[in-house]
Amino acid sequence: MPKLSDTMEEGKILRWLKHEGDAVAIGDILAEVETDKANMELEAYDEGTLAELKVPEGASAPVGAVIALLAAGEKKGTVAKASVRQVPEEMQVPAAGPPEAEREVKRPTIVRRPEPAQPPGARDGEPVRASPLARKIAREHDLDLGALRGTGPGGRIVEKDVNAALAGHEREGGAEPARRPARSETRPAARGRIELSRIRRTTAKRMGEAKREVPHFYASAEIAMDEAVRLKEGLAAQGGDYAVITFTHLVLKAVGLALARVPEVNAAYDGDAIVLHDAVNVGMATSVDDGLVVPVLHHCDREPLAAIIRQARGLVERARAGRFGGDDLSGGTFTVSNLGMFPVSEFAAVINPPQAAILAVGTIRESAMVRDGNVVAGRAMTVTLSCDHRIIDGVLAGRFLRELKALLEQPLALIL
Amino acid sequence: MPEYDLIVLGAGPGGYVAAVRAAQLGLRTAVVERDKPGGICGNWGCIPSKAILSDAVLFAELKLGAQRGILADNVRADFGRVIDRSREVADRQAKGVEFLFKKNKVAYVQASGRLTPGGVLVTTTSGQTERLAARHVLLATGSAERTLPGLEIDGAVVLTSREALARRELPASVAIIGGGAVGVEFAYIYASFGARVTVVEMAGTLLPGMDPDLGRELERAFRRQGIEVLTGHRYERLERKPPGAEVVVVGPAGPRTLVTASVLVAVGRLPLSGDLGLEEAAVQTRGGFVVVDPHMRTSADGVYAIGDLVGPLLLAHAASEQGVIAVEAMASQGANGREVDPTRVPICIYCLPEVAAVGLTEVEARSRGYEVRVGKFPFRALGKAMASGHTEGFVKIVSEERYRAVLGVHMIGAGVTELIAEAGLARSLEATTTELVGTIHAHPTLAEAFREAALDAEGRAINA
Repeated sequence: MPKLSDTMEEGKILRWLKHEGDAVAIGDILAEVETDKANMELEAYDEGTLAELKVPEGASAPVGAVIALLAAGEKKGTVAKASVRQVPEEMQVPAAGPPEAEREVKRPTIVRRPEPAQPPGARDGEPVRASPLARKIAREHDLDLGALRGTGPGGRIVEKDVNAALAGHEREGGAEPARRPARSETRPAARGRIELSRIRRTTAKRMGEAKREVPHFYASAEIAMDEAVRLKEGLAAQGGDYAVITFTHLVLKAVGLALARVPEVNAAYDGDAIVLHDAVNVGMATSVDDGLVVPVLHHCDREPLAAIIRQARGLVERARAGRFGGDDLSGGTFTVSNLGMFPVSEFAAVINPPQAAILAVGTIRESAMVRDGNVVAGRAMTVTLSCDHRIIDGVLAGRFLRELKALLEQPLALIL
Repeated sequence: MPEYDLIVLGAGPGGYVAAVRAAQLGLRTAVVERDKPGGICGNWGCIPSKAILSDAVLFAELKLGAQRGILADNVRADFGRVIDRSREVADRQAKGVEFLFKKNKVAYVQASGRLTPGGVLVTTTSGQTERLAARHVLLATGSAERTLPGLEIDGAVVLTSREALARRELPASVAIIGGGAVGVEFAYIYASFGARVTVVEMAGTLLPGMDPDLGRELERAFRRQGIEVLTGHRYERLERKPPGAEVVVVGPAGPRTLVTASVLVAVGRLPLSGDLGLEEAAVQTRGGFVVVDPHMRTSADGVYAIGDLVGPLLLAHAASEQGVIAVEAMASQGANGREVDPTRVPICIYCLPEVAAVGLTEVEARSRGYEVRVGKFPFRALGKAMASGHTEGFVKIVSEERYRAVLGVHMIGAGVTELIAEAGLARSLEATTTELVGTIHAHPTLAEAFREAALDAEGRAINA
C-alpha cells in the first residue's frame, strides 16, 4: 500500500481493476484506493503479471503493507498459485518508503525528491518513540501518541508529554482532537450533529495540531496588480492553454519563483533540524464537497506557466471528481490559499505542517494608489504570509514578500 | 576580549567535569582550586573512604573465613597502613584529574577565587592577587563539614570525617553523632577494625530521609556486628575528660552519658559560599545555598553554580551532571532541555550491608497522591546470596497501582550499590514493573532480586 498522500496512514481497496493472472504494464491502473483524503487510482510502478491479490475489495491495509504480488516476466495467465508464494520479495508491488534505485529508474510517473519532513511523533514506517509509562497512559486514555511531540531524549515521548496533552484536552472543555476517532462514536448523537468525513477529520486533527504547536507569525504585503491584470488579459487572448488562465496560476508561478529565490522559506521544521527542500512543490488549498484538500503542483519554479495552467486544471478537475492519482496530494513544500473569488480583502491562513509557511491571497480590488506623488486609481491585492517562527524569522518573510511583490508587479518574468 | 570563556571555581567532581566538558565544547576554560584537584570527593570523601571501607570489608571477611573453611591465624589490621593506602588512592585520583586538565587544555590555577565584575579575583597561597577576565563563571566550591555547638573540632578527640580520614591511629572507642551516610560508613569502618562504636541519631531510624525500612534493616545488621545504635537520641553536650570525652545524649528513656575515646561529628555539610563575593555580585542565596534555575544560572548574569553549593542533593554524581548541564547551557546560549530530576539521582552508602536507593520512598509516593504498590524481595531467598554468604537485606520497589510505573527502588545488602544502576535506568526510561519482569536476569546473580521484587509488586513472586 503506497503512501498516496502525506497524511495517509491506511488505504481501502475500493475496486481491483486488474485481476490475478492479468498482465500489467507500468502506468496501468491496478486499483481504486480510498485514503484519508480522497479516492485515488493506484498505478503500477513495475510490469509483470499480477500473481496474487492479498487484500480483497472493501478491505483496508496500512501504508507499507503488501496488497498484491507481481510476478516478473511471466506470460498472461500462466502463473499458477503455487509458484506465486515463491515470488521474491523485491518483485512485490512496492510499498511506501525509499525504493531501490533500480526500480526508481523504471518509474516514469514518480519524480525523485527529498522526502518532506514528517509530522511530529510518527515517522514513516518507524514506530512512535515513547517510554513504557507514556504508552500505558496513552493506551488507557485512548490517546494517539503519533500526534504528540516528545520532549524526552531525541524527541522521545515521555510521561510529562502525555500528561500535558491530557491536561490540554481537559482545559479545552473535552474536545479531543488527538484522540482516536473511535471515541467520538460512543457519544450520544445530538441534534444537528454531522459526523466528520474522513477528509474533515484529517483537516481537523492537523489544523488543531498546527495552531497548537506551530508558533505562527504573519506578514502582509500590498501588491499592485495592474501589470498582472494586463498580462493575464493579453495571455488569455492568445488562446490555447492560456485561454483558461486565472490569477491563481500567475500567483502560483510567482510563488514558485519567489521560493526558488528565497529557499529558506521552502522548508520544514524537523525537531532538531531545518529541512530545506530541493523541489518547489506548491499546494493549492481547494474546497471539495466534504472538506479541504491540497493538491500539489510539482516544480512550480521550473515548469513554464502554460504547464502550470494545465497541471492546475487537471488537479481541480480530479479534485471535483474526488479521484486523485499518483502524487497529486503528496510532496507539497508550501501552500497557497486563495480567496480572491470572494470579497475577502485579506486573511491569515493556518500553516499546513510540516511546511514552514502558507500564503493567503485576497481579492484584487480597485484602490487609490499614490504614484510619483499623485493619487491614481489602480488595482491592489493583499497577500499574507503565515510563518513557522521556529525556523522563519521576520526578515526572511520580508525577503520572500519583496520577491513575490516584484514578480507580480513586473510579471514578465512569469512567462520567461 | 576576556581571557577565558569560562572560569570554574573549584575542581571537585562538579567543577572538573564541567571544565572538561567546556573544553570539549571549545570554550577557553580555567579552573581555580585552592586545594587539590578532585575536591572533597577525590581527596577527603568518596574515594579515600571507599579505599578504607574495602579494607574493612576484606578484614571482616577474613575474620569470618573460619566459618566457611578459610582458616587464617593471627589476622591483624595495620590501621595506619590502611589510612596510608587511602591517601595514595586519593593522590592518584588527584593526579588523574590534573592529567585530564592537561589533556583537554584546561588552565589550572592553584589559588582561591572570588567573583569580581567581569571575572574572578584569584589569590595564591603566597598572597599574590590577579584578576582573570571571563565571560562566564561557574561556582563549584562545594561544602564543608558542619558541626554543633560545644563540638569544637580539635583533630584529636573530636573529629569530622575530614580529620578521621587522615588519622592513622584507630581509637579504642568512638561515639558518632549523626546516623546519616557518613556516620554509618565510619561506624562500619571503626567497628570492623575493632573499635567500640556507638551511633547517635536524632531521628527514629538510621539514614533519615531515606525509606525507613532501610534504616531499620541497617540497625539490625549493625547490632549483629556489635555496633550500638541509639536512634531517637539527641546530642546534648560534650565534656572533655582526657584522654577522651563524655558525651551526654537524651533519648526516650532520659539522658545517658557515653564515655568515649573519640567523637566523630557527622551532622551534615554546609555550603562554602562565604568567601565568593556573592553579595557584591548580586548572586542570590537562601540559607547559604546559592539559588539557581534549572540550567544552573544564578541571579547574576553569566554566573552559574552547581553541586553542594546549590544543595540539596550533596552528591558527587549530581554535581557532575549539573556541571555538564550548566556548561551546555552556556555553550548553546540557552536551554538544552536537560535538568537534574532529584527522583532520578541514585544515593549509595558503602557500609556492609550496602544501601542504595533511587526515586521516591513509600511515604513520599503516598504523600504525592499515588496509589502505591510495594514489591519486596529478601536476599536470603536468592541462590547467589546464599552461595556467597551475604543474605542480609532486601530489594524494595515502590510502584503505583494504575500503570505500574516504578517510582522508587530501595535496596540494602551486599553489592546493592552496583545493582542500583539498573533501577536508575528504569527511572530514566520511565519503565514500569512490566518491563522489569519482562527483562531476563541471569541466574544466579544478585540482580535477580530486582526482578523478583518487581514480580512481587505485580503480585506474582516466584521465589518468595
